[in-house]
Amino acid sequence: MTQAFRLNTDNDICKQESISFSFDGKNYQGYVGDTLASALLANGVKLVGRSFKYHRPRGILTCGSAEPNALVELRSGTYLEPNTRATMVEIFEGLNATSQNRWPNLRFDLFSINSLFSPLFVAGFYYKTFMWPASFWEPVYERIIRRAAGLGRPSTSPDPDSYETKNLFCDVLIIGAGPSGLMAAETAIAQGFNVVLCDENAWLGGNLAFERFDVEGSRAHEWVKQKENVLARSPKLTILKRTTVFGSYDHNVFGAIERFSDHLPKTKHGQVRQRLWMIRTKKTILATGAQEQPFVFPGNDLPGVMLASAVRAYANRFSVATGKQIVVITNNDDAYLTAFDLHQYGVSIVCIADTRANPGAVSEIAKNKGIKVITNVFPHKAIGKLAVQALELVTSKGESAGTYVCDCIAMSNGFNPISQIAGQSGNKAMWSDKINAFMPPDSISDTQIVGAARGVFDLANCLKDGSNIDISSMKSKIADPSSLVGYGNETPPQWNAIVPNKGKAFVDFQNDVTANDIRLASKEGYLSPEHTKRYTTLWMATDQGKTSQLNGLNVIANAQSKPMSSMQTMTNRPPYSPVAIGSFAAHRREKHFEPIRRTALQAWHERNGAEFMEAGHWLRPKYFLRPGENANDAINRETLAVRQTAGLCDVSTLGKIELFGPDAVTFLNRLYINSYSNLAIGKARYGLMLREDGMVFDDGTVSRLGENHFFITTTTANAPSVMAHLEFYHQCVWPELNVCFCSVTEQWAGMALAGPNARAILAKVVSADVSHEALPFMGVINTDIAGVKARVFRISFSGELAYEINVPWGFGEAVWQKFLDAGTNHGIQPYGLEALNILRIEKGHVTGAEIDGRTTATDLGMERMMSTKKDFIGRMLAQRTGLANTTRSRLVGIKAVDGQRLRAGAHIVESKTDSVNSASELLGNVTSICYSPNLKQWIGLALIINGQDKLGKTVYASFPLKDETVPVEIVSPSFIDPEGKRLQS
Amino acid sequence: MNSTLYHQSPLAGLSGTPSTTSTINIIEKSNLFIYQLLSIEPTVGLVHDSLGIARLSTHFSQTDNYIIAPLAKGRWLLVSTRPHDQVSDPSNTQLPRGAYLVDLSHAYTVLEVSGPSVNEFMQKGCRINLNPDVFTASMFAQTLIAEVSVLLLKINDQPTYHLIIPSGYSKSFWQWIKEAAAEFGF
Repeated sequence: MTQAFRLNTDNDICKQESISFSFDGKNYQGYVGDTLASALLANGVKLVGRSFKYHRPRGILTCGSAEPNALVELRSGTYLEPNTRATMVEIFEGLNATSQNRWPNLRFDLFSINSLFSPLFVAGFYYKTFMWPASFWEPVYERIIRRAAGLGRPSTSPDPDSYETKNLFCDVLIIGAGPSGLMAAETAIAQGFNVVLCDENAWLGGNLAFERFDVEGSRAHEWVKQKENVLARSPKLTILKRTTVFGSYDHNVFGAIERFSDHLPKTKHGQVRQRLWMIRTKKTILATGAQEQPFVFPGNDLPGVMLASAVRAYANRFSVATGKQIVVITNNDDAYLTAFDLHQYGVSIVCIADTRANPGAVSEIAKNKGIKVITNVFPHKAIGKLAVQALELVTSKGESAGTYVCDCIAMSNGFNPISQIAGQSGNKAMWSDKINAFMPPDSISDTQIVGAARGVFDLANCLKDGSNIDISSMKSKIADPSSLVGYGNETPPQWNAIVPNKGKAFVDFQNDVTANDIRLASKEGYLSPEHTKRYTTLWMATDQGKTSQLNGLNVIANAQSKPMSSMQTMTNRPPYSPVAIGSFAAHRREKHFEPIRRTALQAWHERNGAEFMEAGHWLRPKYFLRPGENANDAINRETLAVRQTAGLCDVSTLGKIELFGPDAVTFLNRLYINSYSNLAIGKARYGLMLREDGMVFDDGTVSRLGENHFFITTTTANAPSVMAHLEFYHQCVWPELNVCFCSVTEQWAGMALAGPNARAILAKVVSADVSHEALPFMGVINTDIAGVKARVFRISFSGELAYEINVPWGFGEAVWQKFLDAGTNHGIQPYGLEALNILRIEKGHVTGAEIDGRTTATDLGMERMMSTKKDFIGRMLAQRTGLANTTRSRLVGIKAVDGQRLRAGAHIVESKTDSVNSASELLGNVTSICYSPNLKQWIGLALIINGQDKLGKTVYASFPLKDETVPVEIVSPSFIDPEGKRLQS
Repeated sequence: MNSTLYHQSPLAGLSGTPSTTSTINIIEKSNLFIYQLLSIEPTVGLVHDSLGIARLSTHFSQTDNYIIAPLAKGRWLLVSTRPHDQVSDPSNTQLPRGAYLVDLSHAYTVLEVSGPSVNEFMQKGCRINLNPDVFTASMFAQTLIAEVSVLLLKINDQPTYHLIIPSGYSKSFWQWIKEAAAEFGF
């Protein structure tokens, strides 16, 4: 199809490269610089979508971001993007767009049958109709409704595009690069400020960039280019085009989305699709302009019924005639410019229908150009099926004023300042009789509103308003814009002066809300506009009521016989315009969702068959698979190796803190329940910390490396919390203690060497004497390994003869390998977390499963560790009656009586028939379980009421999720070597 | 440290060869040693005096051998070209009693970032205002970049930055760098 509606103008666009694109599978031609909307209009395509509820044919209403109708799906497959405004999409070679919310096709949509039932689909239809039976709501009603009504379909595949976040700081953020914004930028730069200028369009100047009149002696678009050239030379200015500021947040933070490569057929390497800017500014100038408003009359949603400024923009900027016979309907002078420009291009202007009785000089100009002007008339009905064919007019008395055949209606019902960003501050726009529109709040701190955004609709005054800004005081020198001559709307909006009650006169195009829907809501008691909104869906959806707010409030005010001054605009919340969810996630997806923390041995683990699990941010090996093994084989092999020969485990993730100072012992005594006063240099001690409420917080070891030098280890999970705990108590509670400390977790790679052969292997590797006499249980030595400084601690989590060796991170892998080499003849094997867990359960050692924030030292059988000779965090509350109660749960071991497997989390009950739902019948719960390859049976740890008195008793572990109830015997938690001979050997 | 064992950076095998068309340069500074200098409260003033450094400041002090930056009261970051056994007396004056030097050279990885697009690149992850009028040379900050806690030092006005990253997060951080810097030909 040729571009039959492309005008022969001197516009640059027709000199651009021709490109092809498709819409609903049909190929069309456009030019570089076209939007999808302008290119479709150039090809005579007016029908671009179906409406939300009634599936009425819809066309293009606007030329910008306020578009409520022309929502399309772009691209396909994983790149599918629904609900994209055709007016904001810049076409590129190969662009594939599709209409949405229709079946089987756009021209013949079976769901348009909804329109026949429209008397049923009134406001609150769902609430009134789908009341019974309640069980039908989700499986029946909701599915049908969602199928019949809605917008586009999102892709169900992950978004393949890339996004990023960038941070920007400035003295002054100017939102909107129309005439006021440009002048404000010039002024702010001249006053020495760093300025960021954002505009959602691909060009600067706003609507002025395509006007045909002169500004300061130059054609408007040339004037804009001159301004841009001057501004762009300033190092103080950052210009962000295609960037929509969508959110205003506390502390002068603004969110903006830059459509970085949406207009490109293919991104270059490293280019993102969209960029989320977080802009932190000291001052903000809102130059967001004003939005032209539509008339409300039956048929006002037909394709071909458009805003007058949009009709002019398509002609002047894109050289596109939106029709061959155009009727202009207006209540202001601005729409006359549309008629004049189109007339000059040779397009037939059927008439200008002016709602005013005496339009003044502009109507004389029109008549002199040979354009018919009809005054004091109102739109009564647009006629047509898939596109507008005629407009019926009536007089102010409701009498017919003729029917005018046309294929385009250009309507202008006045302008309303765009105040959504200003409104996000929490202040509401208020009705102004001076401008016959809603004025944005003028008391936002560090913010000044200029130009049309504060009701200054006259160009000369807009320029003056922008250039008169005083950035330091954030005041315009024109304090009261009403002092300007001809600055606002001349006439109140004509919302439905003569509209009959029959026929669909749309207020909110996107959600199919008619004037009658709003009137009905008022009749039914929904008096507040906020209630009306929720009842009728007025102002909802992706356009957030940009073209319906003024008309909607007018209808409400009229229905309730209230003045407009009593109406309040909606609460504005981000985002101002739709923003792809992907841009909020930016790089934080898949492997970058959270940063991953790796130990020094990660590469070795990866090369040697490790399967990993996440432990906080850390990746830790679960087990090391050998060829032909499954996970259980590997876990059992590793566990047996530690008990029978030797094993080596990466324990680098344990928290590590160096503590110094003459008061270090006092500090430790207050932190831990046990005493460190008599801890000798070169010795380590297990310790337990409580929270202030007496519950166990964390456990670990403390080693004394010097008189005033200690080395603390914590659990992996609690390492940051313990460090914060120490900081808090030192800074806020005991600042008088002379201690200092820092985290050294990542300075040291840690490895646990455990098993009967551990000492023999260690002796081969370290230079120091590691005999039992020289390094007894809980001993610590500083030594070296092939010249690498090392700390060796004889401590054991497995219950075996064991050592924890710390070496500087960078030497971790080399030392690890050295141990494996030295242990080859001693049967050494690396082991992972699964084996470690079995070993500690066999020994009855607690971990996070038992220290779950609800257990006390007594519950865990550690009451004897609590010193009675000193105070410590949690001591007082650990003694409260509830915690001292003898009926609390105690840590015990359990083993399956008949070989059945156990489940962690299972409930312990007295008899097989007891209910886990009865608190009185619950004895406790299973905290940890494993299959012990050493004992060849399932064992576990459990917290059982008075468990210490129930040793030898058989109870039941009930796991309702699997419908399992397993008999278990309560035993000592120390299954292996309860005397500790192995670790003392 | 004279060892027969190999030392391995957390970024071993990742950094690759810099592109000649890249407008940012990112290199690992493996010749730097990182320390924390700690002090108990009564000694804080003595440390300031003996090292000639300001009290809490957003600027670091620099000599031929080391950079020292105050992290908190009684806590300083020390970046040196000299290893631990030579740096225990960083200012060639005896550290006062109650001051302790902790070697953290292995706990951190230092990346040097420079080039014409460096600020544009840094904007992608850094929430610090890097405007040259605001974040001047010799300033430092503790901040999050790509969700990783980073010590950021502005070494000079070119500008060149040093990013001091916990070793455990180095690889993850490097993967973010590769994506964020791809736009600049890195």
